[in-house]
Amino acid sequence: MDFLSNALTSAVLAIPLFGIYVLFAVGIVVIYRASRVLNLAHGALALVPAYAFFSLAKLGVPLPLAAALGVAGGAVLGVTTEAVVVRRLRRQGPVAQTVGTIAVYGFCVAVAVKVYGSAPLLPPRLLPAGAIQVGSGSLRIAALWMFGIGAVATLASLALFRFTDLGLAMRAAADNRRAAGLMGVNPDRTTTAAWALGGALAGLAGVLVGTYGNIDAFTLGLQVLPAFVAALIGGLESLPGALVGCALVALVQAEIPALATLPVVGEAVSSVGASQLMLMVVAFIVLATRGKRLVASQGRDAGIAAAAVRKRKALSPNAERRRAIFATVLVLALIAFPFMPFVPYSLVGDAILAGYYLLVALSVVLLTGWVGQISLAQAELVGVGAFSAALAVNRLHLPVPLAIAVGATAAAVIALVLGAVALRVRGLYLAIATLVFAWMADSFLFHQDVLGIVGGSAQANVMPIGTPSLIPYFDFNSPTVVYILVLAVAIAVIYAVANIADSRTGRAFLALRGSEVGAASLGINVTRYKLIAFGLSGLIAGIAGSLIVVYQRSVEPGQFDILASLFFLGVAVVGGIESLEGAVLAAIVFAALSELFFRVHALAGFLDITSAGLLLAVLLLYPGGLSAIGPAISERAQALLERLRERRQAAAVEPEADAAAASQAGVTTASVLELAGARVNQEARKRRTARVETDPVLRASEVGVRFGGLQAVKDVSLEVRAGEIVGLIGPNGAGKTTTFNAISGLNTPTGGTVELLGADATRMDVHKRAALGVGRTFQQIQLFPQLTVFENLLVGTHLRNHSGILGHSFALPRAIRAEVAMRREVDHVVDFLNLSHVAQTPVADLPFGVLRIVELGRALVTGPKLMLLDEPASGLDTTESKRFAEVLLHVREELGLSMLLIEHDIATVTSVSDYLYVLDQGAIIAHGLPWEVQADSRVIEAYLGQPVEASA
Amino acid sequence: MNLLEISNLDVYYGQVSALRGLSMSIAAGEMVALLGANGAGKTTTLRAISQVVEARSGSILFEGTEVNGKAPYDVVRFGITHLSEGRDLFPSLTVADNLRMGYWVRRKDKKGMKQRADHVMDLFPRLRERSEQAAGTLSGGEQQMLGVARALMPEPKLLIIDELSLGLAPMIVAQLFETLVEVNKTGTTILLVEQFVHMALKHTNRAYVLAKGEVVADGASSDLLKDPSLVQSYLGGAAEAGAAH
Repeated sequence: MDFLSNALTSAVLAIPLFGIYVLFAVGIVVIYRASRVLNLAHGALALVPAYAFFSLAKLGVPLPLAAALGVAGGAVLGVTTEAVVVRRLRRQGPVAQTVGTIAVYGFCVAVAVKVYGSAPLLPPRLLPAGAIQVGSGSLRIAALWMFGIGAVATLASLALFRFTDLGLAMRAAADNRRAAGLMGVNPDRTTTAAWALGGALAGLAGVLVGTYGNIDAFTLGLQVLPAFVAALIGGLESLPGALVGCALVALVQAEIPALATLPVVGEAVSSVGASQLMLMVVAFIVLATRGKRLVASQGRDAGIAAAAVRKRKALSPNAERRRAIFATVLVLALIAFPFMPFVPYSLVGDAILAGYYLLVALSVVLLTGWVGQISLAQAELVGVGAFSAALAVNRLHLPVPLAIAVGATAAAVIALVLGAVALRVRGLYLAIATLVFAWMADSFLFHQDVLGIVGGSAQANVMPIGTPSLIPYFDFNSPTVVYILVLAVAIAVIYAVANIADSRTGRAFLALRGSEVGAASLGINVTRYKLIAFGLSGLIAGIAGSLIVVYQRSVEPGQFDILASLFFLGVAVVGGIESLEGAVLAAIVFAALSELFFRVHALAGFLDITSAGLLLAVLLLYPGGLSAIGPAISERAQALLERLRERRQAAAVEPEADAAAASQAGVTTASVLELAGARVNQEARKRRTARVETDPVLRASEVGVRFGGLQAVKDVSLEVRAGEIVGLIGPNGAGKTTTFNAISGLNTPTGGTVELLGADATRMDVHKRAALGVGRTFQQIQLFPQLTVFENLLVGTHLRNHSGILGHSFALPRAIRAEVAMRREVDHVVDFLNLSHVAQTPVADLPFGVLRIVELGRALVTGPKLMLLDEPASGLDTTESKRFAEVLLHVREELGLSMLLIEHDIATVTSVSDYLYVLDQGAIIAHGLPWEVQADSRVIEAYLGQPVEASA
Repeated sequence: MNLLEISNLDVYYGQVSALRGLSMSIAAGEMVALLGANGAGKTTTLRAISQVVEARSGSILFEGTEVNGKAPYDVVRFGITHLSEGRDLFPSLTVADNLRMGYWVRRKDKKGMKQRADHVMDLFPRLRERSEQAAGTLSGGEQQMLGVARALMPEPKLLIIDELSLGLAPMIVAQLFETLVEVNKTGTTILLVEQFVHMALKHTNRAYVLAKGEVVADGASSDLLKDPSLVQSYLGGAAEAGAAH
């Protein structure tokens, strides 16, 4: 009874929260729909208007006018962010755009802190004072106003979308930008309108928050996070969904005092940061029930596209020796550096700081750069490592090396938890999930009593650690010793990570980023490698955290807040998100900056502004980061040399277009398909009058698939016999793809069984089917665009390479032997498919027809016995499809594969298939030899429309 | 004067040339097919006309006015509508709202909009039944009908269609072609890119064959249909495959 009455009293608290959250959430959804960007600068759109209102009111401007100006300021800032940052990063993809909004947020917060300080300010009251009595509690009039304003603004926005021409155009452009342009809508204008609306609503929220409570730069910007969770609950695209989300989030937060009276739960909930903990729980539950296990290529969503192809040239022995000598000299110099007489004391500290930045940046490069998983909680992982190492020293009195191991392990475990979330949540959604986790860690986890933090205010929470060393001769009180330790660890980590990059493990990472289904079809266990990536990244971050504790001998939660996470992502992006060398450069640059801003008094307080500005500048001007500058310079130099040479050979006046076309002509599909010795015995096949009598390699029995209430496929039974090519045809929407996915494992049948190569595969994971010997290609090609043809095929060796991650990290002989053997096998397939002249070309640069062959080759590398081909001729012209059909027959002839293909192009399907099944409305309506099926009256009626002459 | 006069059009994607000095003309009232292998420049030609891609040089005169250099959202005001390949709809908007978008340039004229919507829904009665349904939930054939209907909303003088048949069952493609012939008879000039050569030649007056960004053949569709070897030599067997449908 007590709890119920408490709960009712608390519910009242949700009223003002709801008002604020809807203002944010509507803007977040509208902006997301218009630009496909998660606007992490949304907090800044509230922050700047809140401070503007404060200053204007201070200057004596009438309050309503000051508020209106504040709201307008939010709109202007929104429009500016879109025009200056988001629009210009469109080509780099949504992740780069999101990082851009992070930079804007960091910049605004840093400026606000510089101008107004970090202490809370109390703006004058805009809303009426007073309170009314509700039950046993009271409700401020201002809270009702906030609710009312939020509701009215939301309804007005909904009406705008529903009933006006501008709203219609905004919805249309959000759906399909190019088509909206063709209708006569200027899509840039609708996008601007969306950001103006989002900015105005956020500005309104900022002004209201300011007039209800006090404002400070750090917390005000974070107020949008509950709204992000609310928008997420609604699926990020739905306004009504976001409203429901806001109500839910507001209620959950309001009920915390009531929950605190409960047993068990109450304890967690009465701690500081309980509200963030609850929010994270809600967010994770929503995300866990939403996500899908596997997704197809996310194209630009995955990773930051800027640092395109990793160009790695084979080094000559001489160059390799020179490299080794250079590395040795460099390491010796780095070791000797603190002992040199003229090196100031503080420089050693800076070097340690650089090593710390480097390690954290490496953890970001691995996770975000290579695997494409955006983590906005990297500083929190570092913090977990730091606090755990400190506890290990303080409570368990462990020596430093063990304390580092404890810290690293703890961070890896927490990273695995995030990894578990990432199994179902990807891209920008994962970014929100990690952000919410980060907020929870900042406000809940790092304030637990067990950490033994002493001191009252958040700024002074310092946990001293005891004498950290029990090892003789190693006095970790000396920065020089810590420096040597950091250097050794950094070199070891770089060595291991660089080795992994070129191994089976590293390729599995890149494959995950490129296309999860593509990776799984090659036998890569997506779950496992995602977790490995998170674990490794957490491990590295934890090592960094432990080391910084050893150096500082104290640790405070403020070091590891959300802004620090954003800063670390910034370091990695400034270096070049995929680049190890870039991480080193960026770490040095940022360590040097912090020294500079500490030394020079005039610059004091500008470090954060400069860091955010640098991130923005790199994103906008040099999207490849520092690591791209070297190659860019050498490329320009080469282009210059070439131009000089051309000028000398002015005689040969060949228009450059023709030259480009000629080089293109070198890689046409035709040249790839000139197969030596492709003797295909077509005639014998055509004369066949009965189906072959071999054992089935695929047997689907009465397979049914149901999506919600819709029975997409019912009682489909089909067979592929050993050595046979079987075609599955049917009109659009007949259920071909659904059947195909049930067989390949992308959806689970709701009835019937699927037997593959003698094993029951009805519920088998995709990567296990690959291990059985099932290869597949995709209608939407799922190659890994940043890799070359050769590297793509190399990913296909995953199943046959049995070396492990330890071997990869330390380049053990066994791993190297396996690598060499695999490369040789890929060479065979490259030769077999006549791909050698394009082997070193990135697949992004090849014509479509060639890509189909490359994808086929990649599947062949896995050594399949059964191939599943999803519309292999789609997107090919007639010549290309004909040639592709020849390749299929050739592959079957030479390798003795069985195949199942879905196809629309009747000419292709009848020219290669030994047997055909015809689907219509989710059921098999006919099957037989191709000529039998073509004469079937039901088939003609349902599909062909007129009799078809046998062709090819 | 021809309705559309393209001369010496050069289009590049980065360093790669997609169209090289392409010239062609279409008279008012014609129905013209643009044929060619993949990568021949068919889609690029359509995109250049609607300014989705920018030409490096050359001119595109529509009723004597230069279209080149205009923004894509201005081209529809000339009376040109473009249905891109792959059913380029607004999937979350209803059928009715998709049609409203088609009339965007004349949106103030609510009465005219209703008349046009009635007219196109007479052409495709299925759309009337589904007018309140989200476009993304329609079947492939219905989506393509909506695409054509939306492109007809502003009473275009020139309708350009890319790959009408893409991913559709042959029977539905045949129905769509018949409707287009009807539309053409009422005065709308049509230019279409098509993979099904036989189907395209059967329904059009004239055809251009492209290869490597240039026009390599053109003539009356009926002549090309009679002499499949000509087309075949450029398409590499496409005519033969087309005959299968």
